[in-house]
Amino acid sequence: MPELKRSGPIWMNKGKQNRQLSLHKRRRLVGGALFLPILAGTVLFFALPFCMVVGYSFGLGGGQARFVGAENYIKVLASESFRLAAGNTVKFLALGVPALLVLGLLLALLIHAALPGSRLCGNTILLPLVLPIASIVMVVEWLIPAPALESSRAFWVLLALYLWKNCGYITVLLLAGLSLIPEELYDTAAIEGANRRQKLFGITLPLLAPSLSFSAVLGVMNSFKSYREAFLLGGKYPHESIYLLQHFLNNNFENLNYARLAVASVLTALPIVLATVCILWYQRRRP
Amino acid sequence: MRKQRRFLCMMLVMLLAGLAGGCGVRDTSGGKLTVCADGNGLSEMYLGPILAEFQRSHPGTALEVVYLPPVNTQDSAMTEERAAALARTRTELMGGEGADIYLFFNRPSEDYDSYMLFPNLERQIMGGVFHDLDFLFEHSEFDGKAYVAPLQEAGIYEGKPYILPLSYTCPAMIATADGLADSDFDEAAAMAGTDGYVEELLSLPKETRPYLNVSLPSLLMNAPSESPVSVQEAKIRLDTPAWLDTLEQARLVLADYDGSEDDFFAAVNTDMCLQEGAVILAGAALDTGYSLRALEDGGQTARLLPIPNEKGGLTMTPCITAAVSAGCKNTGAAAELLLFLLGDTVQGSGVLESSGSAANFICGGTSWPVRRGCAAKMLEQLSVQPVQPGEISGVLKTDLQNMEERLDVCRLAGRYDGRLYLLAEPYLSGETSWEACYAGIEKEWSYLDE
Repeated sequence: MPELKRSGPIWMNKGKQNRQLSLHKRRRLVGGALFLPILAGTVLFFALPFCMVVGYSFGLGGGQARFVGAENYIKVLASESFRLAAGNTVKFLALGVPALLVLGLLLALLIHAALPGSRLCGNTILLPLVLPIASIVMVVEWLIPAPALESSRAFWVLLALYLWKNCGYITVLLLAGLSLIPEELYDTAAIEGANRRQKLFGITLPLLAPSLSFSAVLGVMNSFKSYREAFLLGGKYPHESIYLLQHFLNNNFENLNYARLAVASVLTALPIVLATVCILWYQRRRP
Repeated sequence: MRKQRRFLCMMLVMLLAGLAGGCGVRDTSGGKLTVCADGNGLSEMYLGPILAEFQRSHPGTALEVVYLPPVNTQDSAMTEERAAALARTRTELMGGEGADIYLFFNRPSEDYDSYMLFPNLERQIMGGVFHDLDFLFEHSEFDGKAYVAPLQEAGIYEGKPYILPLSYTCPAMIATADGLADSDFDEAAAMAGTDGYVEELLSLPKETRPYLNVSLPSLLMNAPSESPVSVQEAKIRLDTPAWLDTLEQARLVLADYDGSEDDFFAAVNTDMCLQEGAVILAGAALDTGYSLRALEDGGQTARLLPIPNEKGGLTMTPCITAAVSAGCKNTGAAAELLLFLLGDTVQGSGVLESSGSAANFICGGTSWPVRRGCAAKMLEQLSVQPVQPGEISGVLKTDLQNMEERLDVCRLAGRYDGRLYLLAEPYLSGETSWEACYAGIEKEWSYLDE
C-alpha cells in the first residue's frame, strides 16, 4: 500500500486516497496482465513438466504407470556411471565457475582501467560467444592430437573451451557492475590512504557482489551447455574424464529409460535450485 | 508472508497436477488395436496382406497399422523422414502412448547410431516400456510345444519374457550333400561344439571351401549361447570360457587364411563355386534360405550345417520380433494378433484367403519361422523373385527339422554384437595380444550400468 500524504481537509484526502488506491490497483492489474503470458509459458513449459518429471521418477513403464517408490532413485544412485557423471559435473563446476568469475573480473578491471589495448579487448571479447560450436571443436581437434582428447587431458580441454567461450559476457556483466560504483568512494578511500588491494577488497568486491552472484548463476547454467562441446569431442560415450550428467541423461533418453532419465534430472536440478536460492537469499540478506 | 504462502500453494498445486498427469493411463477399449511396423524390411507389400487376413478373420478388432519409413534404399543411410519417425515413435512409447504392438527387426548393428527402431533392445526392456508376455504364453490357444524351445526365453527380465520372436536366424554353413558325403567331414564331431565344427571344416581341402576363412569368423560370433555383454549385469562376458574358446576358433580360421579369397563377388556366386568344386558354400551362407533354394533348384541336394554353441546346442537370434507396449490395455486383442502371426499360415508362408497370395512375411528366406515344421514349408513356398515355389529335398527337410530341435537358447542381438568382430579383429588377425585387445574393448564398452 503506498504511503499517502495528507494535506487539506479529511474529505479531500479521502478522495485523493481512493484515487491513489485505484491507480495502484490499476497498475497492479496492468503489471499482472503483462506478466501473465510469461508466467503462463513458464508454468506450462517448465514448471508443470518438471513436476511431471518428478512424478515419473517414482514410476516405471510406458507413461510411468507403475509406482515403484524410491526404487529408481536407489538404482540410479548405485550406478557407477551416474556417480562418475555427477562427480565430473561437480568437478567441472567447482573449477570452472570460480575460474570464470576470476578471469572475468580481471578482464573487467583491466578494461575498466582503460589500459592500452583494453578497447580492442572490449570490442572482441564477445566474439567467442557468437562463433559456431562445431567450427570451434573442429579447430580444437586440428590443434590438439587425438590421443590427448581420449585421455584425462580432455577434461582440461573442455574446461578451457568453457572459459574461453563464456568469459566475454561475464566480463561485460562485471564491467556494467563496475561502472555503477561511484568514483567518489575510490577518491575518498585514496584520501584516507587506502592502497589498491584495500580498495579492491573493501569497495570493489563488496559492491560488485550482486553482479558476481548473478554471473555465478549464469556460469553454472552455461556450464551445462558444455555438453555440446563434450559430445562433439567424444561422442555419446566419451573418455571418462568428460562423461557428464548430460551424457547420462541423453543416453538414457535414447535407451527409452524414462524413469532413470527423470531421476537423474531431479537429482541434477535439486542442487542447482538450492544453490541458486541460497545465492539469492544471501543477496537479499546483505545490508 | 502472504505472497510467499500463495506462491507455495501454487507450487504445491502444480506438483500435484504434475504427479497426477505423470501417471499416464491409456484407454484403448473398444476392440481397437494399433500396430507399428518398421517399414525397413516389414513393408506394407508383405505385411499388409497378412494383417488384412487377420482383420478378415477377426472382424471384432479394429486394426490400425502404421509403417515407419524405410532407410535410403541405395546406401542404407538414415533419412530425415525415418529419423523423425523413429524419434516420434520412441517418445510416444516412453510416454505410454503410441502403438499397442511393435513389429521390428532385431539385428546386430555395426553402427552404434543404428537406424533400427530398437537398437539396444535389452535396455528398452529394462526401461519398462514393454508389456510382459505372460498374457500370451498363458493364453488357452497357445501351445508351447508347437514352437522352437527357446521361444519363451527371449528378452527375459526379472523372470518375465518381453519379446516374441516371429522368426530367427542361426549361424550356419551351406554345403552340397554329395560333396559332403564324399569328404572326410565328420558331422557328429562337428555338431558336438564350436571347436569340433571349426576343426572339421578346416580339415577339408581349401578348394572345397572357398571364402570360408573370411566369412566363418564373423559368423562364429553369433554362435555362443550368451551375448558378449550382459546389459542386465552390466558386464562384459568376453572373458568367459565359451567366448574365449569362440575367439580362439575364429583366430584359427583367420590364421588358416592364405590371402587368396579376396573376390567377394566370386565367393557368393554359388554357380561359380560349384563349378570349381566347392562343397562348403560359405558365401551362400550369408543369404541362407535363398541359397538353399537356389542350390536345390539347380539340381543339387543342399545341406544346412548350423554352427553349434559351446554346449553343442544351437543359438537362435530373433529376427522379426514383436513387442507389446506397456501402455497396451487391449491385451486380449494383442494376444489374438500375435497368435495369428505365430499360426501355421503365416509361419509356413501359406496362402492367405483374403488376397490369395503367399504369406511371405518371414523375411522371404533370410530367417526361419519359429513354428516347428514351418521352415521347410516356408522354403517351399518362397515366392520372392527370382525364386518361385518349389519342392525341397528330404535331406534338407531333415536338416531343418534337426535345427529346430537342437535350438536350446535365444540370444538377443544388440549394439555390441555387430561391433564385436571389428573390435576383436586386431587379436583375431594376430596383430595384438588378447589382453591389449580386451583393454580396448573395455574402454569402448564403458558405462554399461548406465
